[in-house]
Amino acid sequence: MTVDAVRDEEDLSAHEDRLRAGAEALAAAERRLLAQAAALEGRPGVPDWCVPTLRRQAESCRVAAEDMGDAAAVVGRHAARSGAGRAGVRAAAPPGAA
Amino acid sequence: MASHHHAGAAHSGGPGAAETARLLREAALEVSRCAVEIRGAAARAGAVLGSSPLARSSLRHPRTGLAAQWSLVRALTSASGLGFALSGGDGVLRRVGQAGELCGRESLANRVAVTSLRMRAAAVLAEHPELGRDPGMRRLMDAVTGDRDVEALRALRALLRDKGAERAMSTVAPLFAELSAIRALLDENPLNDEVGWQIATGEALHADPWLGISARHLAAFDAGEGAAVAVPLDDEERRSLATEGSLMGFLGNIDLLRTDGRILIQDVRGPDGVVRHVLQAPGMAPGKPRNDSPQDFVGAWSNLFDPESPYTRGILLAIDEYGLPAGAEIALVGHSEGGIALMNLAQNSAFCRRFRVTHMVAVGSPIDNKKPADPRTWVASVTNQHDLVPTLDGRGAGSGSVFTPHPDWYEVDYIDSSHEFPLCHSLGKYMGNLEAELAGARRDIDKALTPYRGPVLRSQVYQLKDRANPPQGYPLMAVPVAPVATSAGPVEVPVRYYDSTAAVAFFAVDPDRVAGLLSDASWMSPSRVGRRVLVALSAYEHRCVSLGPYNELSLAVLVNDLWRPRAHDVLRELLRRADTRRTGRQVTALAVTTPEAEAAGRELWGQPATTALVDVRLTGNRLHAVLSAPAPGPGGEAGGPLLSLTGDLGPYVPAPHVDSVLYGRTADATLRSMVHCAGRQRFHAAPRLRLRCPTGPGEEEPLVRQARALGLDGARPLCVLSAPVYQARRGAGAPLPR
Repeated sequence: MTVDAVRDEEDLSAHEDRLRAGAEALAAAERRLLAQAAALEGRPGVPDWCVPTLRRQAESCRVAAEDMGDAAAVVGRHAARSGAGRAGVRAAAPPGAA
Repeated sequence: MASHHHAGAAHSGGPGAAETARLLREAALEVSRCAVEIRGAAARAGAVLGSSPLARSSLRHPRTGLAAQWSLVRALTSASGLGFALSGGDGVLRRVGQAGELCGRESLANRVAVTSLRMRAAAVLAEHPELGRDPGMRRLMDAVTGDRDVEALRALRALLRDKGAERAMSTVAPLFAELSAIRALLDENPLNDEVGWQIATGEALHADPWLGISARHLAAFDAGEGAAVAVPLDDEERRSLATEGSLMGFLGNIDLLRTDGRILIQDVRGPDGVVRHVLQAPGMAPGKPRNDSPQDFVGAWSNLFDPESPYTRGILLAIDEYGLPAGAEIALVGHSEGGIALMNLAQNSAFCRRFRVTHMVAVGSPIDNKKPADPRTWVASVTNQHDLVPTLDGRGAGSGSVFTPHPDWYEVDYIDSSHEFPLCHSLGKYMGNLEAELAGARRDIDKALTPYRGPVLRSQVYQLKDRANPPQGYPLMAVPVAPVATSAGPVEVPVRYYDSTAAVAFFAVDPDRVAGLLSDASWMSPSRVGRRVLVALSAYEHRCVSLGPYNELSLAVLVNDLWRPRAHDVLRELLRRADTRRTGRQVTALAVTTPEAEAAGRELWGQPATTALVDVRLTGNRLHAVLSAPAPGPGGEAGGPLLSLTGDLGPYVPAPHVDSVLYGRTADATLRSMVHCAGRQRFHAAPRLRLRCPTGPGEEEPLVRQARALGLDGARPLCVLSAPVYQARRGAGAPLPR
């Protein structure tokens, strides 16, 4: 599969946005898997493994969404720190310096 | 137009089974979409982890930077979350992810995709519980879905042993695509994962699902620019060709063509009086790939993945040769590989601009990944769920109508009572099903084909080839020819020998004996090797000649330069080109089997030719060259041998072919002719042949008389040059003033 390339000049805050979007997608996947499990539950002819597997994978999606959200927050903090660092360097430079 | 699905036999799952199957397929589709979302989220996170800005900023601010990187690594490797999902990244991360897969680590996305595929398989089992009741099939399913490769192999082996290869293949066929994809996603080979995803999400395949070999590499084996040659049908085939257009008529024609590389184009007059055209293409031939025909296994793979193939190029050439007018309405009907090749044409927009492809009917063809360029093209696809071939596009019975990308096609995907593969792939079997169990579908397709249901006006069969063949005898025979009048009729010069066998035996002879033969040309000096003179007895079996086939025996003396003879000329000039060579062979006696060859020998080359019975055969390493006396009586059959050169040629070494210069005599000139030849030659240094001239009648035959005069009766040759397959061309003799 192809993934949108992360450009070198891309701001770290854009990384945070990507990760938050990923977390949301994972949370949505959890909901959709649970919906399928509910739709198939109790239906005659549906294999026994089907609903528990979907629920288990939905749970994994939930955990993955939390992990991704946490990662987004940590990256966000790092982005804020490195952004402040760059601003500090710029502020300390004498006027007219390159 | 609504999608149509027929079943040849009622589902054995009982009432409600179809509803359950539909639910499972719809859920499988939704779950596969979730899998794609999960995979995308993991891939984006991997891209952030591997990005340069994050790496650089982490060096500047290691405390928060390393924490950010660690949180991403944790998210991408959490067993309770995304699993081992590093392979969605790029560069080093991707390699790490693939290494993890080699060690058996799986990602959540892959597991969810596998769940989707298992649900598709469950849908098939709901409709056909007999598959699940089969212990061998159940064992295989359990092993594949449980990622136990060795056990899966054992289960497949057990299926083959218990049911035989044919029945095992047809048992697996309905679930072949799903099982292949599950295996691809779960096994330790990272190269085939993408194919597993393509099957799981209903995309077109770009590689084989087992090893992950790219379609591009597979298609490279199917090389060739394609060629088409119009060929006639034999009487039996012509009588069996359908005279009216109909689905069964077209399929019957395809069955008639078999799989030897032929296609059929027909003109039919529709009920509205308009003449339309039908292109009918058979499938692949079983067995090993053939280099001469695009209808083979390699061709089928190539067509499956690559819209441009020798088969499609050959069909286009056939259409050009047939003279189909631009804008003509055309229906394409194909079986197996023929269906794929025709679908490749239908999805070619240039072809659809040139002709109006109104109908496309494919039987037993994996065409689900293809789409006609003209949205108006009516497409029908007939597939047996136990036929393995249509599942090769990754769309098996499990995908059903939910995954189908062509809601407007007329699809007949059925199961019949006989499960033997490859029998169920045969066109005869499909025709039998359409005749009996699928009568409704047959009527529907016939109704759609109404514009083509009328009398057949013209039929032309084309032999397709991977490559166009060069003209016979190319390049040796690619020379201008001109007719020359002889007493036996006109002869094209140069005379071309397309397929001959040759053997030239060299004898060492006493010079005094040779002098008698050359008495009418006293200035002609024989070539000597030591104190002896070389004499050649040549035997030819000319099977295909521009003069007509004939056999030949000739006796010749090797002679020096006609004007400035020098000792050992023959050895010195051996490697010189024929057109600059001064030495040659003076033919003193020639026996041929046809009057045309005799006339050419006498009148074109000045050789003392006679018509006689000559039998020349080179079988294996054994030469049999016999000049016989005609039997008394009107039949003219061979009598007793007058001269024979027979025996084993002995060991040989390969030798280059050397063109020859031959001399003949007319009343007032010497005729010099050159023989340019091609083919492999063998040099036999120790032949175990013997020349014999039995005493008896026929001693007046010049060849026999000269052989005796030279003392060759009972002699063994010094050496022999033989060529089992020999091609040559020989121009007319050029008169020399000697």
